[in-house]
Amino acid sequence: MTGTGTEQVAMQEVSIVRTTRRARARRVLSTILSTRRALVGLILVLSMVIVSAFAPIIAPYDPVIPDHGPQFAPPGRDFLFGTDDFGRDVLSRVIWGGRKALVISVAAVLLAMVAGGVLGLVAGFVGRKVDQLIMRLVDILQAIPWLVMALMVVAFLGPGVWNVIFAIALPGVPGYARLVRSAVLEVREQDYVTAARAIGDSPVSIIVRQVLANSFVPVLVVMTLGLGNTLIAEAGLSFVGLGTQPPEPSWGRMLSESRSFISVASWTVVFPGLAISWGVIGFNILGDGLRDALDPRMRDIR
Amino acid sequence: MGAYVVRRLAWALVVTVGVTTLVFFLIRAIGGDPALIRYGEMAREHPELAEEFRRQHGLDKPLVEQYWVFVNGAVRGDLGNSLYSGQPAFDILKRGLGVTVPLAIMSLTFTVLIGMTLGMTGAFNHRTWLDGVASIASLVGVALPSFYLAMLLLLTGGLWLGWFPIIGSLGIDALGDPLGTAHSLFLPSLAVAMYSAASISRMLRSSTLEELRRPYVLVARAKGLPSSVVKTRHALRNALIPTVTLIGLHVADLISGLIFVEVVFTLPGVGRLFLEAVSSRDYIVIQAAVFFFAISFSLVNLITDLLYPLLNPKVRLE
Repeated sequence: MTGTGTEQVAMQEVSIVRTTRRARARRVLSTILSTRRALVGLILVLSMVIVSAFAPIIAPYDPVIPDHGPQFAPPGRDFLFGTDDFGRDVLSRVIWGGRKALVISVAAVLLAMVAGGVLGLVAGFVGRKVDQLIMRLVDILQAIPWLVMALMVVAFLGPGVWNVIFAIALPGVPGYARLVRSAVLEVREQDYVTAARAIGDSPVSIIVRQVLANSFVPVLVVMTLGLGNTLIAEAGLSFVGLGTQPPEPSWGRMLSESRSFISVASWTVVFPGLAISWGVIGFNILGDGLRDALDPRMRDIR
Repeated sequence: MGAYVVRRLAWALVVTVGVTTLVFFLIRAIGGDPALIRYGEMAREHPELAEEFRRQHGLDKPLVEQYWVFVNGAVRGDLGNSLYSGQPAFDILKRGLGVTVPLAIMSLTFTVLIGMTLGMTGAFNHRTWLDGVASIASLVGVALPSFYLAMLLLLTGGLWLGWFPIIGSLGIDALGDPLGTAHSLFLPSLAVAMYSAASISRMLRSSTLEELRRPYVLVARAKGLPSSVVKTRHALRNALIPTVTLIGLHVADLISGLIFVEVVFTLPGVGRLFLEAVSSRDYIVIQAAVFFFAISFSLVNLITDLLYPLLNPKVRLE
């Protein structure tokens, strides 16, 4: 690349303003496709989504009914990932577990985004005491380890899917609240908002529209990165026995159940964990790639 | 400067009290009746049993009064008695601390050491193979949940290589046998640390790279300062400002990791205590554990807050 960093940034910013929304979307897509890392992320995520969506077709065996094969068959031709203590196919269980984990994670991230977004909007708009109160609450929420909060919520309210989603969503809320709040504060200072206020217009609709437009990109990035965290959280809750209930397969439960056979059947530990990492790496790289593609300032640094 | 320290101290207090209070009311709002859990079916046939249990533990009093009793006791180091064993929660907690405190200290040390090393390696060798290796290491670190990493380490370092003990519960005596403790807590603390280390290294790398592109770095180079001085004394020092704050915030994640890792390695620490207390609805022990978590979080954040002025003269001059 030629030119100094600032020139480049300026030029890129000008070009972004000029291009229409659709052109921008195309640009983003092509940037993602051209950055190797982001492409890897996209492939990892898409493969997980596709495998989950077509789990009934792809999974070779039933994930729940025991006795498909011998107990603790090592990975081989019949059972690619081996079998567990009930003779169930580990691969099929990994696939079905991923399906559930993905659905729960997406729901949790959406919930966190909406809750955090509303808090951030209110804090930014109302300001003063309310802002102070909300942000201090957000600070305190951040000081509580996510697992401590999630354990209490799920243990007390019961391990239903909605409670799990709620518990996993909670730790994400502070991030979105901060993000949206700062977007509101930034937009409020814009000249056209002051102008609108000066002529007696209610600037609320302007601000909301601007805030939504301005924070869309960072929120999307945070959501993508957040999906990695929620995957871990979902697995973590079932690991301590509070997520998805047996006999339904879930990655965390598969891990905790195979803890006692770790020395005889290491595959029952290795593969469910690899599946978690697969998803988390995918969402992380994709999130990084999105940020690079959408925020030109980051491009040189990464 | 003095005002800054006072402000940070006050904030640490607010967080400790805020977290403890929030949890105190949360468990009572959604926790259900521990007497019913304790006596199960019997509570229906003999309601007087449950009644007596509630009265005995003060759970029949109004919430505000219960809170007042709790605060009054906590200030004097009395956290109440466990709803189950009847032992003072403080004593139960103290037994767990013997394991959890050394584990936490080792985890935090690993977090900082690994995070700094990976981050600096990446930033100072930008776009070389070393940067690639450091980036991949931190990516893998973020993607390995502590409970999975703990099991992998147990499998490799404990079972296959046999270098480390598999079950840590035997003989953790940090003061009497520091070396033995470090040996048996090595794998657990590595498992706890990796996630935070990885995310700190990513932060340090990107903020160091950002600093290296600032004009003052150009000036320093133009003055003829050696590259190593520019990198460490100028860029790294400024890049540490956001990183130090991040380390403080990561204490919350370390605590989550501790709970998982204590389960995997069957360590009788505060994390396991908390987990057991949650499943048996032992409000008193839950409160005690959360109180400890909140204090640890506030304490480490207070330390990072106090380190902050050393790095950032703006705060020092306020």
